[in-house]
Formats: sequence, structure tokens, C-alpha cells
Amino acid sequence: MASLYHDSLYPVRDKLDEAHRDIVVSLSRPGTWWSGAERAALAESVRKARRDAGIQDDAPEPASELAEVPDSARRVVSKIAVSPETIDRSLLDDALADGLGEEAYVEAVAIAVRLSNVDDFARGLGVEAPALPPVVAGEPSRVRPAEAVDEGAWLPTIPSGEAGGETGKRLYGKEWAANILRALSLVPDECASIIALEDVQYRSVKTIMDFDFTHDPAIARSQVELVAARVSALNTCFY
Amino acid sequence: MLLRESGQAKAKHYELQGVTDRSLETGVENEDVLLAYAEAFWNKDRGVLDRARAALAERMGAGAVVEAAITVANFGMVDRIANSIGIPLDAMAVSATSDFRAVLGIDQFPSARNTLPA
Repeated sequence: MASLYHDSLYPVRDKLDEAHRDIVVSLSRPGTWWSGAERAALAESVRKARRDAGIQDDAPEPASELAEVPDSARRVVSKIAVSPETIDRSLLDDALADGLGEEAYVEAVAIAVRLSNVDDFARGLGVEAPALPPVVAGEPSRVRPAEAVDEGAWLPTIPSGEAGGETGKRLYGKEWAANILRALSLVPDECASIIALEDVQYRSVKTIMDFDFTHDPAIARSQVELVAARVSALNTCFY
Repeated sequence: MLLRESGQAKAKHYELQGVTDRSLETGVENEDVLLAYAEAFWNKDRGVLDRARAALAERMGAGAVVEAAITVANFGMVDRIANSIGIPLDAMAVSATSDFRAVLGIDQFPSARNTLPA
């Protein structure tokens, strides 16, 4: 199978390519709270917002007819995609007031952040953003994890350790998991995707404090951290 | 942010204020091309990003372009999650970072209210 980034002048490591292929494929498949057609429609809203903001390079047209999704969900994914530095609690409160469920909100967040991640990377390499495959039919499972509790975020999350129960163990293993890794755990499949991405794109829980570990010796850990810090400053992200 | 710790692991001191005050230098090697590339993602002029990418590749090689690109993408993703879910900073990090957060103005970020009392 051809690399997702086969036209890049800069060779992309296989695991990264595979991880991004998984994202792209998942966005047209049924999720936990949105169907494949709805997820693809939200993904297209992300790309439209990015195009309108001037930060989306070329991307192929959707391969399938898109579903209708609530305007509230479109507003959520659009804001997350193009102006994360302006987000405050009103984004969630307005969505809930408009009838969007907590779980659907979390899954919409996951769609917006994962596609923005792929499209940012493609733009960074100077290549076209990957096409989304045709929509896969099927119903969302709509299962809310019983282990999710209030841990101080705006929405419930699944704790690490004993309190996380079986779902927590499946997501985090025996490791302690930082708040950022647990943030989307109200929808466990999306949480698992983020944890896997962090491993491939940055560091795993096991290697995060190993400052000799590198995905490529061309760049040192301090240089990675400098870029990361500057990005977070531009996004005015306290975390 | 583990910039300080990554320096300490190599017995180096970095000027963290350079992350938010671009008139200062952090002391990280090749920070000029790395930061120019990272900041170019916010520029609507694609030519700015193209030139920054080429400069980074010339100085540090193709592998550095890929890793810098995925770092920008990854932390864009992480920041979007943190700001959208309103997660607080992990308890152990709140005190460990208080010194440089205040200096860098991070405590004034809107998302600080998810962790710090108003």
C-alpha cells in the first residue's frame, strides 16, 4: 500500500504513516456516538473552517454524500479547528444547551483534533491533505463507560489505577496516565486513539522522561520541546 | 513543557522566557530555523511556510523537518484537547512549574482558569 505521504520530499517513518492512515480510515466509520456519514460530515466541517481561515492547503473532495449534523456540532469542530486559543467553557455550555450530548461533544472534539493533526502535518510537509475514504454504514454503539467520573475537567473522565476499572485498565494498562491522556475517556475508543498517537508522534508514558530517546537523531529532545512550547504558547494553552 | 528538564538532562540551561518573548533567545541550538518553521504554520501565506521548511531542511536535514512538523501537529492536537475539555494541569506539575509560569505570563492564559483559582 502506498504511503499516505508518498509525494513528500521528506520521508515519513512507517509508524507515523500507519497511525495517520488509521485516523483517516476511522473518520468515515461509525463511532461511538456518531455514524460514519456524520463523522465524515464533521470532518468536512473541520476542513471548511480551516480553508476559510487560510490554514488548509489542498484536500480532496469528500468521497461520499455527507450526512446532516446539528449546527451546534459544526460550530464546535470549526472553533476547535481554527481558534483553539479562544476556547472557554461557553463552547461546551452552548453545545449542551443546543441539545448536543456530553459524549457526542467529546467525540466531535476527537474528530476535530485528530483531523487537524493530520492536516497540520501534511501542510507542514507541503503535501496535499489525505482523502477520506468512502463512508462505512453502521450504527454507533452509544455505550457510555460506567467508570467515568468527575475528576475536575468540564466533563467526566476515567481515572487511571483501580478507580478506572476494566475500561481504565484497557486504556492505560497499569501506568499512571496524565490528565491529557484521560481527557477524551468519556468515549474510550477516541481516548485510545489519542494515547496511541502520543506514543508515535511524541513520547509514551514510559519514554517521556527519557531525554535520550528520539524518533529521529536529526532532532534533539530539547529542540522538540522548544517547538512544543512555542506551539502551546501560540495556542495560549496553560496545560 | 519539558524544555527545562531536557536541558537539565544535558547539563544545559535554557532561557525559557524566549518561548514567549521572541526578542530573547532560549539557547537551544538552531532555534532560529525551528521557531520560524513552527510559527509559519499560523501564517496564511503558504510561501512563508515553504521558505521556513526549506531553511530547516537545509540546516538540519529531512528528518528534522518531519519531526518538527509532527511536533507542531501533535501539540496543536494536545492543546485543542486541553482547551476543549477544560482539563486541569496535573497536580504534581502545578507547583513544579509555578516559577516559570509566572515569568512567562502563562498564568494569564484563558485556559489557566481550568487549573488556578480565579
